[in-house]
Amino acid sequence: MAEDGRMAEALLEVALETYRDEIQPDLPSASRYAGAMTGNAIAIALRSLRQPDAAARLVERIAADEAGDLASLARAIRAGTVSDTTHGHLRNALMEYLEGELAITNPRFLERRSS
Amino acid sequence: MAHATRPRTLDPERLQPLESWLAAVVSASRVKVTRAELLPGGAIGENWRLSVHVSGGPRDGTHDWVLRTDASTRVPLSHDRISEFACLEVAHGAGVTVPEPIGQCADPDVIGAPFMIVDHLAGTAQARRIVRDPAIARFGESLAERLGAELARLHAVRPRRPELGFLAVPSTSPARQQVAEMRAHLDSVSAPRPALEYVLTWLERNEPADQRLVLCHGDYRTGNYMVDRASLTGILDWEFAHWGDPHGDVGWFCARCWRFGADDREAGGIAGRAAFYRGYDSATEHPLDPAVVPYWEILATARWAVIALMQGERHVSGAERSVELLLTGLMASEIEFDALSDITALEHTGRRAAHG
Repeated sequence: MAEDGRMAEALLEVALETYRDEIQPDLPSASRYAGAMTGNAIAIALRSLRQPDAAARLVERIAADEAGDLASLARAIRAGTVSDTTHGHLRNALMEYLEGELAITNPRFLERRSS
Repeated sequence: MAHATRPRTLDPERLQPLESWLAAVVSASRVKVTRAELLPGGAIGENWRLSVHVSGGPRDGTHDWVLRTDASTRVPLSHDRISEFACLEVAHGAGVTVPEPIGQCADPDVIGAPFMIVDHLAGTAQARRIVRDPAIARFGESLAERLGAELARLHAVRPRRPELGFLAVPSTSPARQQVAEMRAHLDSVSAPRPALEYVLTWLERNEPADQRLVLCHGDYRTGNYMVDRASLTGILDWEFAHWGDPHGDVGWFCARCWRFGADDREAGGIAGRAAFYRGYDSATEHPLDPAVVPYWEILATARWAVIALMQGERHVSGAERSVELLLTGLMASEIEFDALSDITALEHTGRRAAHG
């Protein structure tokens, strides 16, 4: 299928709208918790298609010289070969990475923390 | 449905083996279970409220008890019910307010799995209900003081205790032991977490100089104690008890992740931390060191991140399909963000103190 990413985004977008407008309001009370989580999961999937890749940016800033992927970076931090001493901006880079993840998984979290 | 349907252990239609076992344990001529009700919650275990009538013996009469058994998928971090019962008995003997331990059964043939029986407590343990109680401003401080004192009584229990022989005594400092355990659990999670690795390395390099070993609850927080009409009725959920530094339990109780949205009430979302510390210090010969509690709160935050990731991994691995588990795993970003923020804040506080 051509332009799979844009089709996936379009499908998720309309599925979320339909779910929130037509299905979720009529859920019985016993299903409301599961319903809220289902809507949240679809919204996260949609944002993941729309947001830039936070992991790629972190790897580019820090891990490029350490074998170039997130798993290698995690191992290097545990081993101490990547640290605040070797990369003075490591903590800031990790915070920016988490902000990128949170823009997808829970954008309201950052709003609450900054208020 | 949020969770795949789990098979239940206790069969309310086949209670005779349980009744026979109970009669022997409480030295009665006969025990009749008149009602068995599955209690809500129970992600790690099953809790059943039992209405029982005991004929003969020291417990002759009518009782409300709770039967606690393992769920079909138990978190690997937690004790089984038999070990949990042993921890509960020790806490009860130390004067901590807990459900009275009635008995434990390791034989899987009675109800289909090992289980324990404790007294049923009045009240609620629902964290959001407690934290959001309109009267919390009136009773929160006294409750926090009481919880501090109860924790101090628990921390009077020191290694070694023969009845707690299953609890490993750390061969390194309590902080390093916990960091090592968290790293081992993180290795079982498929997604790499460089921010959490950073936090664990920081914890290892900045551990407090003075640490000691006491019996720790391991999950001492709002949501694991019962409150009835603004008063504590008992401390629950002893499945994470371990030998550790007492400030570990304090850090867990005060960590932001366990304030249930009441971030300004730093002690469990119910009161300021001063009340909690005051209650603790009133019941011990070893007062808390407030200066090290922020470290233990960061450790608590890291530990919660590991737990959340392991919950998510249960879905990813195929062990249990659940949108709730998957979403819980995604919370790791929030928790790691808070841990890194707390590290930065703690370092700024230290620099301010150093420069006067």
